[in-house]
Amino acid sequence: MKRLLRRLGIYLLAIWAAVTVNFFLPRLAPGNPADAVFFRLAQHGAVSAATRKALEAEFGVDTTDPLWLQYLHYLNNLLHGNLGVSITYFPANVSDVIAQNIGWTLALLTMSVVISFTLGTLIGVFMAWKRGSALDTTLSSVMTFLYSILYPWLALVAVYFLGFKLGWFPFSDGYDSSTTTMGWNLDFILSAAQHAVLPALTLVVSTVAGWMLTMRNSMITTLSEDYILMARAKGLTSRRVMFAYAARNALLPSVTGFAIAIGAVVGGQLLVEIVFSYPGIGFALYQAIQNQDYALADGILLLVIIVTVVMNLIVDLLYTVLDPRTRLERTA
Amino acid sequence: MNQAPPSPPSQASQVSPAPQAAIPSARAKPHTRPATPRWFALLGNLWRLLTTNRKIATGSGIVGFFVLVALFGPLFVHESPLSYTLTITQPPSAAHWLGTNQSGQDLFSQLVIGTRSSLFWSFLTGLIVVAISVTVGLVGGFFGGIIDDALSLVTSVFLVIPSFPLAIVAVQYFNHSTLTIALVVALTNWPWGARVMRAQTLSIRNREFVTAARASGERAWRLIFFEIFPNEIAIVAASFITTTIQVLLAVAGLEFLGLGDTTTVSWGNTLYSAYSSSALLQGAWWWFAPPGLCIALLGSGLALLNFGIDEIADPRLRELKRRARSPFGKALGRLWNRSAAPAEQSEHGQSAEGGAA
Amino acid sequence: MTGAATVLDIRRLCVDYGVGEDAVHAVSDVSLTLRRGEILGLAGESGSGKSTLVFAITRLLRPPAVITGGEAIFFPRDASANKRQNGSFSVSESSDAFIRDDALTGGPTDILRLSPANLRAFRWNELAIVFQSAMNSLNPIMPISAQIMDVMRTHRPQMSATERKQRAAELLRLVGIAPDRLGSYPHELSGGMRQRVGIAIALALNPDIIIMDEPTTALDVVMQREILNEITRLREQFNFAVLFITHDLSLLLEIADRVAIMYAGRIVEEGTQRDLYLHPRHPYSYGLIHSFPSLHGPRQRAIGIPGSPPDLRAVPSGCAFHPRCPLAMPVCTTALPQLLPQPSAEQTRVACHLYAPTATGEPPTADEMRAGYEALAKGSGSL
Ligand SMILES: Nc1ncnc2c1ncn2[C@@H]1O[C@H](COP(=O)(O)OP(=O)(O)O)[C@@H](O)[C@H]1O
Ligand SMILES: [Mg+2]
Repeated sequence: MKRLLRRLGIYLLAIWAAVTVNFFLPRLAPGNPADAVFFRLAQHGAVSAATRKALEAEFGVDTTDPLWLQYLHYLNNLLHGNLGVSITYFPANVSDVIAQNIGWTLALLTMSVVISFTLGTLIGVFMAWKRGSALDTTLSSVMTFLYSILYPWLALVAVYFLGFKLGWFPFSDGYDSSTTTMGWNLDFILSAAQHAVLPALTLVVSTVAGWMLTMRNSMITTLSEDYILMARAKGLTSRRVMFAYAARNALLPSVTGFAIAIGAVVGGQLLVEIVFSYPGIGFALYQAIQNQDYALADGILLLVIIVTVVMNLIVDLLYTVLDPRTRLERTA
Repeated sequence: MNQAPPSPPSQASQVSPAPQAAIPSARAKPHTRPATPRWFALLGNLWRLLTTNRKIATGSGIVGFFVLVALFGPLFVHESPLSYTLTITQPPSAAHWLGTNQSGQDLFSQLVIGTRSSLFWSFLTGLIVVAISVTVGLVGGFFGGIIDDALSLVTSVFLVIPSFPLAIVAVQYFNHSTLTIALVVALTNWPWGARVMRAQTLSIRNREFVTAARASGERAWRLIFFEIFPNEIAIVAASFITTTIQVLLAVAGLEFLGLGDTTTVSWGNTLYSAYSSSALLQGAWWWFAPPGLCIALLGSGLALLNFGIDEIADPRLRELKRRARSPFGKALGRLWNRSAAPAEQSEHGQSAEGGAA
Repeated sequence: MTGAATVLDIRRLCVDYGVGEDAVHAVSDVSLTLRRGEILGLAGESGSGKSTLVFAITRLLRPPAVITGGEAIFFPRDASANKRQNGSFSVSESSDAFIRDDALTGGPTDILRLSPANLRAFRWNELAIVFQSAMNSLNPIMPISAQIMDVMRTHRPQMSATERKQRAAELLRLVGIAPDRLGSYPHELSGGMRQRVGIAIALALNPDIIIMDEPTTALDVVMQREILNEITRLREQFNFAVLFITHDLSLLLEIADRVAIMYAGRIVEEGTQRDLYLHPRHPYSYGLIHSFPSLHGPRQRAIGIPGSPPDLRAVPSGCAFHPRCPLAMPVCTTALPQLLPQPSAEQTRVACHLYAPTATGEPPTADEMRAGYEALAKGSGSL
């Protein structure tokens, strides 16, 4: 319990730190980000005085308020979910834009992470068990290559071959907006699933190597433990030795590794969404960058951090379930 | 262990010349070792290391190839990578080995010249990251107490923040020079290494030679950098390699988003131009495929190096010795064993066939 | 114990680590006989190949280890002996014959050549192991009840969940642990309790043989004593044979019926506990026995064996002990001594040129051996 509380504290601090970095960045940056924003806004039509003022406060220009007051205003705004106005989707609020996109991102993320972690871990278990076999050697080489692949590049390759050349799957957008309407109807769900195949496949293929290699090594280390020897000496079936004894223990370092890799996976997902024009926050982030839409980019960063933190928390809880030794702290 | 030479079997001469006594005297003077033979030995070790471990051999081969291309490749490229020609979007040909892009630029030149900048910036950024994480880890681990608490907290906090999205948001406020990207990537990627280094420092801090040096009144920074740090070189190397892979991917990712310095040539920039000009939908695979392949290959080379280091550090991970499987190979192996060690075979009084492991 | 039937016969066993020229011969030409219900002690300095021997006869060796020769014959108890009188095993005993593979009930079987299925059935049913460190040999994330019961689940599938649970509680009680610890995890138990759990698991199927590989090495002296008493008591109750392995010869002399001494992968002396204690023949055995202050006999100054155990990658030629031996002769550096029975004691076998039939002089007396060691100690002191 104490461990969980400490982790929780660290997560809150992480969110605060990111938010603070976010506050100071535009104020440190050379040039005047607000000018760029005004310029963009002006293209959409006249900028109201109120908007102008809000933007100036956001970026810390033309304001006489001391820095700490600006900071407090900023924090207060964030706490009220007031993330500013998006230029890209003017005049929509950043929070509305994000709310619209986050569902897509979360669905894709959950799906691909669950599939790739399960798959990678299972294959890693078998590779370690059949260590030195042709399967192990081949997969090890392939996985080493996939391990260092650039996500968006793999996405491009997938789009080119499976989408463009072979035409098996749609390769842009989240669903077919010309034939279906968003909502809980079968047509939409099928269309969305079909559109998710390629992005999910890309994500699974590019992340599976990491889980697999981690699990393989963890498993190999575990297999040389005395309790594995004892399990074999007991005459247990290979399956029981492999899963109940070896894999269960090997999973622990693998889960820790998972927690560390979450940030990278979320980052990778943003890039993949961009290539597939997937209507998640990754694509919105790309739009924001293209349009110097700082407010939107900041909002998305905040959200990405929250998603990462929540996933970290889930992993922490999972670890407590998996390892009785951490549960001991509850009583101690 | 027992190094007593075969001696005439009189009882008195059986005394092995006290091997234990020799050990402490050899250990007592770690500071006055002659330098040159050690370097030779080190080079010899390095060579053995590069050649005995298959992963390290392959990995250093791949990385070495890219380093050579980065160093000397540009000397052999005569076409400027950025000059426009009229042969636009051409597939690979004798004139343009990797074809041309939409502006008629030669993609092979871009790839070769891009190797230099991609490698240079990845390694440089990797070095900066490692410098930061080594410093944070060493200082925290060495001093302990409140300094360590504070540094650990900062490390844990930044470990949670996803570095790539943070880098995206940070980069957009600054001018898109490659240096900016390198700095931002460095500032967002150091926590992992710092954590590893701290753990290692903690375990080394209380070892004998450190305590001894501390007792003799060495200054803290000397202790840290001359006593502790040299014992962490292997882990620093591993951390540098891991970091370099991350940095390579992060820089390429940022450049892919158009956040890099688009006036320079690099793998990521080629990818960016390919993506933003829809090379894909024109079927121009030769435009986007090679840079991505190079990134993955270089990354694999680095990863192999790292896996090799892991194997050396943890013998349990080492590849099992290949055993001959075919009947022919088996027979060959038996022949080899027999000719290699005939005396031992007869000593066992059994043939090697009865074995079952 | 002399007349008891053989239960395990190890014949000329050889184990190498690696193949080819740089193979390490960890076990060379070892023959040992374990009789029903006896405690056979195996002593030797660490690195002498004891564990390798255990893993070989239990088929637990992992690459790069290779068994290069030999047999380990297991003699199953015959059908009549199957119904032993020890009340508490009603559940498991009744089902034994039903489950056991034909190959095992039939006649003597070479463990090293058992098929995978037979091997699995053989394991723990006939031969159980207690490992050195129970901390490491118990699965850290599984409650001990599950680790006891999964033996029964595998080997006694017809037992119901309640029966298994009852049996597990009974086993814990047998080794002196309160049954309410069934749900505990290994890290919640003390070192001694973990070792008891290890013994309880070994008893689960009432095996013929229990191999104990340094079962008390990781424990403090008081705990060591308790565990030893426990083992002797249980052995009397259930009459299993024990192969007890340790680097601590003094311990063996207390509990073993017979003792074998291993040096550099070979047995150098074997005999009854009494004979070995009173008349150690091999100079190495003598050195080992007298390297700790005697507890019972006349007080004598402890002697030390000079040097350190050989690196098995470069074993000295001839008798591997010759560089450390106070009585080494020219022949010792060249010829390997055979393990030969001694006319003076029928159960004793020694591998030493001093006792070979071809030896010219009289075998050395204890005093001569002591004098030799003391001279050696003086010599190295002055160097
Ligand atoms: N995995 C291995 N690879 C190579 N040699 C080994 C391995 N394990 C043990 N050995 C060698 O076998 C010898 C015997 O080891 P072991 O049976 O564990 O000794 P003991 O149990 O008597 O201490 C050791 O001296 C060691 O050199
Ligand atoms: Mg051992």
